[in-house]
Amino acid sequence: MGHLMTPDRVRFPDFETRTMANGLRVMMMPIDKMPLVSVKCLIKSGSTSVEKGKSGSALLTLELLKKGCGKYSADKFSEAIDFLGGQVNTGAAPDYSIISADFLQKDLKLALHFVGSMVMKPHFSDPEFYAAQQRVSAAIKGIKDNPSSLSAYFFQTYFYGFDHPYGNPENGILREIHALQPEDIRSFYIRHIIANNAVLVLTGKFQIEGTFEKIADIFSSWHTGEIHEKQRITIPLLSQNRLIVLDKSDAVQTDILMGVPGIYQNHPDTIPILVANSLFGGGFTSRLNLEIRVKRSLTYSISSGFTRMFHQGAFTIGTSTKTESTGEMIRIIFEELDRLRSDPPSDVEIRESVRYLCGSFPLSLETAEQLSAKLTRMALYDLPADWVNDYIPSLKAVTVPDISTILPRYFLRTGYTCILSGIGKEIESQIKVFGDITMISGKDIHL
Amino acid sequence: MSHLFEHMMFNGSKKFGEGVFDHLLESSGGNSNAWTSKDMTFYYDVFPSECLDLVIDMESDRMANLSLTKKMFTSEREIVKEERRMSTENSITGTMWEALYKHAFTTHSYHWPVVGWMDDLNAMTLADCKSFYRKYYSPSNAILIVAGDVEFSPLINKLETAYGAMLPVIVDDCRPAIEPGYSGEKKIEIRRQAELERWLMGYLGCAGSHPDTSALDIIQQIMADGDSSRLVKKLVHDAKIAIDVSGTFHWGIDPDLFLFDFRVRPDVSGDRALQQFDDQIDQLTEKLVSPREFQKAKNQLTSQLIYELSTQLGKCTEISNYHMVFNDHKMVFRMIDRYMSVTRQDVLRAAQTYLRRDNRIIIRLIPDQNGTPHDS
Repeated sequence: MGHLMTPDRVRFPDFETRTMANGLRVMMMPIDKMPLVSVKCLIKSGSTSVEKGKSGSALLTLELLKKGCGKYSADKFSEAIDFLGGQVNTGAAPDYSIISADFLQKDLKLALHFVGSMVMKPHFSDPEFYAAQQRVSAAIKGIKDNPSSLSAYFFQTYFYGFDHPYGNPENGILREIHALQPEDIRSFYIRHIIANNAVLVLTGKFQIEGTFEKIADIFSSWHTGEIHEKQRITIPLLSQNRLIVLDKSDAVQTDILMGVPGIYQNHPDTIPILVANSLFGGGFTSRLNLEIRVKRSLTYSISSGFTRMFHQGAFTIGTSTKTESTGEMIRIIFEELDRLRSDPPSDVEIRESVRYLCGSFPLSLETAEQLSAKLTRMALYDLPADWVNDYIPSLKAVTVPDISTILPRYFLRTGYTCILSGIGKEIESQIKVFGDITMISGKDIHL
Repeated sequence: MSHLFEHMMFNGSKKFGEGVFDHLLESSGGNSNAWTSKDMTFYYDVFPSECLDLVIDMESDRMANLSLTKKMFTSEREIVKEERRMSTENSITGTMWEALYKHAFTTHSYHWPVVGWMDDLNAMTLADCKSFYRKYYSPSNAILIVAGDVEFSPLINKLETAYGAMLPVIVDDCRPAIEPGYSGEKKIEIRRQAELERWLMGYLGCAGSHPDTSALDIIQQIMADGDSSRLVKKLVHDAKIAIDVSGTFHWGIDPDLFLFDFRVRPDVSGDRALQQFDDQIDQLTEKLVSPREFQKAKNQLTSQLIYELSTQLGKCTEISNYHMVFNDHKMVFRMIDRYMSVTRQDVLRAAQTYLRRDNRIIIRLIPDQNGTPHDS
């Protein structure tokens, strides 16, 4: 069977960027598809921008933007959005915070008005603060009820460490959230949710002329402030593996999340790394999937990936397996990492991986919301304007030597931080050969 | 069996051997997957349009000439057992859902979990698998939807060539009788290691094609969609007794459940949460909803349908769902009109008909450090 054509390139729809006098960048991409509009307000500060000891304050601030702003009480605001059949969501990630508003095309003006009210006229009332603080605290406790969420939470704290900006989970640490005061929220707002630290992204069915004037009307009085430059931080490589077992005596499977230092966003090795990761732990035909799911039936799902953020992130492998196969699972993962060297990817394997990535990419550009997500990423990490258009040609240019060069640098054989959530006494003997074990009993699992 | 069989469909056919389906599709820039519900199995392929001939060839070959070997059956069964451990036994959500359907349906096949009971999985044989394939897999028992960069006439010709000669199957209507109504409220408690108490409430509803479906969808919006919905506003924000609330009316070919799901705050008694929940249901069954929240629900349903149709895969999924439920895929284009024709009186009557306490099953998850993942 001959190989079929994949798209040579995709064409990112035209967009226009304007900057207002207060420093607010506005990116507008009119597309004439469904009668929908997507508005995203990106704030270039997130959970890593909070003061030490104040984890969770970025998330709480974003949550409270919805709980009373402008002429709206919290109740009136949610009712006004729901009445239109729209959605307004907020969130805080390590590198950024975001407000997303998705509405029918006819409601664009109101969508802009809602976002404007949130970022420029939040109430931050004390009762809403204390209510949100309680809600967020309770939701964090619920993380313990989900094995994969629990593994991810502990991976973040152990892999990066508490002194690293990414070591504090976005949701926060319970004792720090309990200690937060309303003033901490106002402080985050004043310092970070400012026009010259924000980018407003519009996609969907609208015309630039007329729309920009509405934006200027609404957002021109947004306050400005000082921008805080960040210095990129790297993560030291461990000399050996370390295994942290979260002992859940009623578990019927072990949830596994393991990782080593990877790359940062815009790293020059990004494209060959994506190709190598795809063939190692990407789709159904990746090496990990074929060896561990298809050949040995050890899991329902296994995958690998690189976290790409401002600071250096992780290369991770995540899976789950029945308790008695935990040791075998870890052993085969390491064997597959070894095999990347003993049986390196051939040109055929690399080309197949490239085609898979090329074919999947257009699916991430279908909707207004997806396109605005691409523009938002572009704005956050200063990606070149043609990065979407160049993505497929860059993938197709990857060669066997490119892959051979990056494999030993990033697909490491040792130095992994492994979080295993399962029955401690049954998995301990299976995994001790892979590194030092720290056992955390169920009652000592604190979030 | 239907779910395990779904896995088997990716393991090779006469023209395309073991592992070739995924390999050819992914290496051509495509991807595929499948899911099984209580009513149907849904397979999808998303790929560059140049691969259309290949995909039709592979899909039609596995419809007619699937390879069913002992080796692959044994392998897939172990994978499904891992899936069951992950999605049900090791999951509080999965455990509660399985318990809900187990107790809500004692006559109808909705009783059985899609992933299968562990004992049943262990007892299945390759012969069962072959029998299932012969019985259900034919174009006459399937609907094929294509969306995207294709031309209609050439596509139809290709499909006629690929599928036209396949023999039809006669699927006996083996569906059990409609689930009889409940004789009273059933309450099941599950005690297991957990941080948060959780409640899952299931009311026996109507079939998806029933005229009351539109009113029940509107009730779902009014009660549990968005911060201004009654249950979210009351339980989460005003009374501060729940962390979250969700509500779903499941469209089934046969009557399925109208569900509510909420997690209780750690310092609140579950009984108090139930009382507040019931107060809200009582209000809905006693009084007409306001014109404003009635219109809000219709607006939400309209925009949700538009969002669901905004991707190629979304179009295919919705059309297949409407075909299965209504036996008429064009109903997807008439659904907004159906919502608009519902009256506030229809909503009140539907609430009184279905959201009765003697028509519900309650699954309560009680945190207990000595508990096990089984219901009592």
